[in-house]
Amino acid sequence: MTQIKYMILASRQGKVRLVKWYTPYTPKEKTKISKELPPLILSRKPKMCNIVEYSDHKVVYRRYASLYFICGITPEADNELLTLEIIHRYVETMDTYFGNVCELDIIFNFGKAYAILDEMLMCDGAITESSKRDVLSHIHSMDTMEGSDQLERITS
Amino acid sequence: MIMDSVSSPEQPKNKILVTFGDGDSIHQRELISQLFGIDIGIGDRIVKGLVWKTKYYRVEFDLYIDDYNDFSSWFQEFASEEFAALREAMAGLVVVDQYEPTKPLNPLGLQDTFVVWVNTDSKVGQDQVDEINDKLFQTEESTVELVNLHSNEDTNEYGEKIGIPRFKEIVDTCSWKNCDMDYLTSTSSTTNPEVSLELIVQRMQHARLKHANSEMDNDEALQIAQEIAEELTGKED
Repeated sequence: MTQIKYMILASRQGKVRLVKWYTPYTPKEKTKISKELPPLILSRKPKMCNIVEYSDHKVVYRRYASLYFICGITPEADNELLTLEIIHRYVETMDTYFGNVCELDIIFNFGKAYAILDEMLMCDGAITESSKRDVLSHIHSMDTMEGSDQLERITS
Repeated sequence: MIMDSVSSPEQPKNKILVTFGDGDSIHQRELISQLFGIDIGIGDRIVKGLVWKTKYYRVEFDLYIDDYNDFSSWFQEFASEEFAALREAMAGLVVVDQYEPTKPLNPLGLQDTFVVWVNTDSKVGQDQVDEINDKLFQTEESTVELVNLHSNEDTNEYGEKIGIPRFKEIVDTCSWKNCDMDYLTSTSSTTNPEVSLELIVQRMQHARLKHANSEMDNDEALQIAQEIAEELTGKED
């Protein structure tokens, strides 16, 4: 069982590219976390531990090329290693969908990046789907429906 | 130092200023070619209407070229009120010189502007570059990054781009605020890039018309629909 509090995707230059909140936070708290966390994680050396204590909870992060995937977790409910696996599965899924995903893919297809995440995690931060194949199949179905809608608009 | 015309708050940030520690214009020309993949004339200081292209967009930008003898005094001049208009219109600042830790790399609180120091000293290894970058990232809201010009590899052990590919990645992902961007049609993994949508729509309209006029039975209609679906997904028999 996992209950992620939030997921932040930051670039190597500290720019937040994607953020998803699974716990109700006030706008002030959200600003504080998004402002404080990326520099804190970015300043950590590559061989340092991927689990950090931050505020009243823990933060699990993983770096992929120029992107940092940062998850806030509830220490009592979450498993840190499972969170790392979720991040990895998310990246793998995006990698398959975009074909070697890069920062630019996420900037210009952030809707898809959110859609993939929504297929994997529920609104309370619990895992809803762990199968990469199923997630991709849902996303492809969504793409087909989107494409059909556009075609209908053209032909009607 | 070069100067720009007066800017307004809505002015596009489409100017990249490249400043060299080496005044040799032939060397500058070579480095510009390496970094931006363009050829400029010897002695060119402002090159307008250049195009930066990625798989998602193309944008026009102007390249401003400058050099200095003493970086500190150049930087002081650049940070002065006189050059505020230029700073506001800048997408990025690129310093091409040997990196020295004593040289200031204060980004002046530049918003939506990348600052890259391209290190020309071949003795500085990637490990040192990473270490310097780690320190730079600790500075809150710092957008300054050091990249090595003489990098043998394109990526490091973590799959991160290094050297010139990293420089290009920084430019690719910069915000190009207020710029007129031509968005190129993206092709997701599900679509077949060879397909002409216009042609397919024409065929569908034709088929629909035939079906409506009862010139086509359901089997034939199904076959056409199947063919179009296969064409769209790129599936071949």
